[in-house]
Amino acid sequence: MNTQLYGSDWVVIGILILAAAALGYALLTLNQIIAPSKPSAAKAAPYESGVPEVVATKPRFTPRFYVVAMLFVVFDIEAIFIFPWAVVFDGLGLYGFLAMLAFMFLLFDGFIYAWKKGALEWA
Amino acid sequence: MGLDLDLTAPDLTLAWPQLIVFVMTVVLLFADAFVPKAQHFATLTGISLVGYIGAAFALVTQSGQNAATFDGAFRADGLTVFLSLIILVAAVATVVISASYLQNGEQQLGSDGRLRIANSVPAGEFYVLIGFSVFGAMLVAAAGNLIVLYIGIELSALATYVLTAFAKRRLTSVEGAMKYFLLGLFASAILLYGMTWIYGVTGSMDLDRIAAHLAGTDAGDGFTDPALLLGLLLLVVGIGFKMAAVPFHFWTPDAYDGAPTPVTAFMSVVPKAAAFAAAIRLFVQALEPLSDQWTTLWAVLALVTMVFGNVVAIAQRNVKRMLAYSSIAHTGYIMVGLAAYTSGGTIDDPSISSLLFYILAYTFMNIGAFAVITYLQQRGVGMMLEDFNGLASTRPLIAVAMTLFMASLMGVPPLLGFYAKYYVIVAAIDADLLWLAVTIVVASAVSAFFYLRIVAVMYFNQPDGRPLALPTRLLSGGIGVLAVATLLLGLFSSPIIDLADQWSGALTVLGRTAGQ
Repeated sequence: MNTQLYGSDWVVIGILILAAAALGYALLTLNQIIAPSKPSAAKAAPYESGVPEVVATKPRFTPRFYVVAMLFVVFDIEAIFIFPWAVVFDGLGLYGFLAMLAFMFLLFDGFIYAWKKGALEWA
Repeated sequence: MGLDLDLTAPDLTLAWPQLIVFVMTVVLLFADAFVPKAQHFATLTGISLVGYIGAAFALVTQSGQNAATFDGAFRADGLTVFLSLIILVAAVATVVISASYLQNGEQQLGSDGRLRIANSVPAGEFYVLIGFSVFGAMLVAAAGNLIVLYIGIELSALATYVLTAFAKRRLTSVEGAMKYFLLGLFASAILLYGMTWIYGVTGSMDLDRIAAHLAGTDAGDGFTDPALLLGLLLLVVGIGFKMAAVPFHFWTPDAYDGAPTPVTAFMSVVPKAAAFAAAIRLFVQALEPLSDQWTTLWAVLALVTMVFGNVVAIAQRNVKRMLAYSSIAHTGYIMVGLAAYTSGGTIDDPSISSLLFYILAYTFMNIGAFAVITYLQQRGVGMMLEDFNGLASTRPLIAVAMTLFMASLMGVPPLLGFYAKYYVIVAAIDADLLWLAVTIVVASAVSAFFYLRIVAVMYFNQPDGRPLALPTRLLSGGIGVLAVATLLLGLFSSPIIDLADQWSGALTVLGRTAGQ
């Protein structure tokens, strides 16, 4: 194969990467040079135009929250997939029906697992 | 717009091996929830072993087949069979060697000189996650479509991230998992971006159709579309991350070091095998017309990876870290097989067969080495070089097994590792990559230093009288089987190579165009 052309193939990619890097650096440097630097207390606050925080931003909350969130995902995803399936149910035939049964069984399987592992117990 | 839906039932018989693993995992999930605690471990181990071995038998019956189903998204060809067999061998080995770890947890030497359990591991989740990871990797091996390939890689990787953090009370484990997770996600994003470029240029997700499109427009000469090259580059970077190639290897030492040792054994083989499966599917099957471009990239990466992995491994006194760098080095050797690909994809081309054989060989010797560390970890910490002191006098058989694994990783004839390197070197010479062949030899010579250091410590140092717990029969038996395989499989390598040669069945579309 032609080595000269072979080289030029990658030159285009190289130019793209260099251009992207150069643009990024150029904009940042330009910002440093041109922008006036006048720091003030209000600007240094975490939310310049928001409400200052009243309590500590790292409260503890129970991990059960995540379990419930995951269970929600199980049913949410199920509903999302069942809607389009139900709309075209007639066209899908027996195979479509069985495929959805398999899908629902798998989601249900996860639900049973979570239940059995005590995810729904709040004691 | 009328709804044009043609939903035909796919030929599920082609997907039997994958389905067996998947169903097994679901059964494991139920068994974990319903089997009483006392029979937990035995039941789950039994289900796993039966599932993986059954899937392996189902695979063997598919040997020689060359078919696709799910609209070409799922392929059952020689490549699928061989790669899935490697993955299943690794899965069985992992289940066997993790037995004592799951029963005893991570033990630590207390201040009173007695062993106590520091980290107990829930066996159910462990086996389920291994199962999903294996299923994902098998899906990559069987992928005929970019989406299936990506889903397989993600399924395999996500389960492995969780497994890395399994010793959750040990900070290094969590740290390793965090680094692995973040860099893995980054790599996935890059990989996906590369796929979108390839899709954008060729207009298809199907690997064969991409190949046909490229063969039609490009014809191998002239100016290549830069968009295509950008996609290619992104794919190389993404896959390179997954297979731990230098310079994308930063997560490897921390993740390997932090993960529970059986998990390290698993993740040093299965995600790597999945990454190479993805590489073969993507580059050899789909982007074959661009092979002049990507062989050069892989050749350079292979060189850097081999040299870096071996040189850095010298400085390690932690054996797990040492093996992590050694696994980077072995990635380099395997990549030579990819770099040695010469376009055309005829059966005579030894490159991809040598790559496949190397991954199989690496599976046996590397899991074996990590199994010995698992064995030793029962006596306390167990992964520093000093922990191997005088092992030859306290546990002579284990010391012999470790010596075999180290010699095989080094490439001493007539062990399995020697044959693996031999085939890769032959492939490199066939492809006129003499410099890569020479690098393999030189790098192997360098690696002798750190592999032999463990052997020397085992045979020439005095034992320090630390307590030795009795490991389970499963672990000792597993080490024995892996050692025998490392010793003998190399001598009977020609049927394995014949099986690996069937990979070229993956190139049906190009085979047709070449035959015209």
